[in-house]
Amino acid sequence: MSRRRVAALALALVWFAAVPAGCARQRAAGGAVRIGMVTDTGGLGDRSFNDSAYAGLMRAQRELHVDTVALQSRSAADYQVNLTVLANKEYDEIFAIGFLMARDVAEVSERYPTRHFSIIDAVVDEPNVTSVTFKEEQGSFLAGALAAMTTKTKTIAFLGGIDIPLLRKFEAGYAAGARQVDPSVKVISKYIGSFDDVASGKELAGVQFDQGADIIYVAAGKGGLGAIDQVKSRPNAYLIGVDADQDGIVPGKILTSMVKRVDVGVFRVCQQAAAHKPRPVHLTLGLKEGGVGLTDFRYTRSVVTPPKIAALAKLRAAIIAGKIVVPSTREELASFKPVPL
Amino acid sequence: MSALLRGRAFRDVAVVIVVVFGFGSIAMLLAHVSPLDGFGALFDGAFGTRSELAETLVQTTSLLFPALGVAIAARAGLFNIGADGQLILGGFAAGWIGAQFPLPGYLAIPMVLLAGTFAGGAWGAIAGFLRARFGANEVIATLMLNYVAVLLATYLVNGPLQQGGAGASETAGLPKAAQLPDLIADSRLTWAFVIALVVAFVLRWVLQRTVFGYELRAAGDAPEAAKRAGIDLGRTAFVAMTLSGALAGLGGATIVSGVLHRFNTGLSPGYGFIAIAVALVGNLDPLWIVVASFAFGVLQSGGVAMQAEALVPRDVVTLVTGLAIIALAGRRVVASLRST
Repeated sequence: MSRRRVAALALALVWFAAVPAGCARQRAAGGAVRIGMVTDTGGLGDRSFNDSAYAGLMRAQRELHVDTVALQSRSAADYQVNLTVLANKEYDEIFAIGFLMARDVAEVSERYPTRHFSIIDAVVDEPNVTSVTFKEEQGSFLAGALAAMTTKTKTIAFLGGIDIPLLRKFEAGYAAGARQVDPSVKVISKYIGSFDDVASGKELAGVQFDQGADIIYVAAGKGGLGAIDQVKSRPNAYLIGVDADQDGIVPGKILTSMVKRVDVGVFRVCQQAAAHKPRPVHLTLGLKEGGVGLTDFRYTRSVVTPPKIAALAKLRAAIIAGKIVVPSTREELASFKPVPL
Repeated sequence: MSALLRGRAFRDVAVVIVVVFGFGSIAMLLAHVSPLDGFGALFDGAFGTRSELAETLVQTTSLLFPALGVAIAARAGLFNIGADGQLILGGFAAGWIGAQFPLPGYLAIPMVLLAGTFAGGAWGAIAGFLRARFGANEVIATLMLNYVAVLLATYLVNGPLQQGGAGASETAGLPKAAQLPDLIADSRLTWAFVIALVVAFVLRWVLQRTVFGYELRAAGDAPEAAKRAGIDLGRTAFVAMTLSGALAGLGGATIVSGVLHRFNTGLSPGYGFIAIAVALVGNLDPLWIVVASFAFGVLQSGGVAMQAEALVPRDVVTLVTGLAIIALAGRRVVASLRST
């Protein structure tokens, strides 16, 4: 019995080992360009980052006639598995949505040098990877300027997720925008320590309101939902949303949202891929490229008056023209002086 | 216990095949996909090309270590539900020590793998000790220790043993010297696969040909008789659980050293739990477990490809796996009821 089992096992292994030799698959000639996407654990339906990327992918499918697929990740272990499956399946472009996948993209792209990858929000230094990043500080600058124009208490706040360089771009731009408009406005900053702690988000937003802030710029992922819960019970106080257009979640209480157009980034790379053109090594999207910006204030026009909108437009033009260089770190923020326009 | 868990291997395999294809087809029809396309995409994705077969073997390896661990405990009459936690802690020890103490290549890899083996073994030993000393039910102990393991690793990696991450719960990257070399170029398959096969063969030899293996099986098959024959059941339980955890921990270390090149708290999508099914389908025999791991590896890697190519939700695979386990377990329960 046992010898027969060993023989069966050996046969099975030999068969499996022999299979790949005969099965080197050919690519269908003239087939459509295939573009794949791997979400982070937030997944589709997060009404923010992943959904925005997916919208860009769907636009590419409609307008560029490419085949697309999106694989969702249930745990961090799925990142490499999903990226590898798409690499094995000869996708022409593979998107990794979010900086959490940076090291996985580095690993997989090294192992698949003939495939091309793109990562959102992180820089991966490999020849076959496009790093798509955003000038969050530029959009945040406008958010800070609007907050400084609107505050009654001369105190505004920033509430971040985790204290990492990516989030400090939001913080620095926001504080600089406020300083540009009114150097006497005080900016208080806090970090929750996670991107999904709704309870702490609510508590810390409460602390900041109690410290006299009447506007909080929240860049804390799902933790921001806690802050949104908090602002409902605070009269004359507002939030500024982030990433997606969050204005409609509590109409009238969210001054504006600093929208990050992940969809624009995804679509831009898709355009290159669909045309079989080389992808840029680093795609940076700011105000000029339409990669970041504020929403249209449709619920808060009573507070965001036409003069304020005009002032914001002027600041926006100055940033695009290079007259204002927005700081993206705390060090740059320390030496930032309001620019006379 | 051990006798109850073991059955006739060939009949089990037939049951699994019927369940996988039968219910899998129904699930695909419900998802408006032709089963032919669905299974075609699954098998094509699992071994259509060299690199896809490699990916299947990566999944096979990740399942094989904890499955062998589950099996050795089960042969001693113990149910180790905690392989996932042991695997995670093994991975953490491997990742942390590998990044913290850079050593030259011929030392770095053994050190990383041993670190994982010891950490997993220590975690298994806790349940083994509780069982041997106080007669505590190892099912409850190992199940609960899973949660402790995940939370402990998360706390350590974000807290006192943090190595400067960028917001993700991870250790620093392993130096090249501590990374298991690739078995197939341009794939994720490393020598971990070979190590797993060797471990399986050694384990079978230990179980079948050594006094220790005999005592272990005796304790599992007929504990009363074993006790009367002078076998120390407590000691056997302790050693079996320690070994069981060590194997799962070694598996975690190979994932860190071979695949991820760092520890991440989410490194296991439940390998330790799927491993229970793998061990049962493999009839608790190390060599059959190799075959069973491969079959489940096919489902794991082919399942993702199926989602990409045939747009069949990957959950179909989870569903089918679950049904196969229920069918196997159910058949055995019926058989054991009949025999009493």
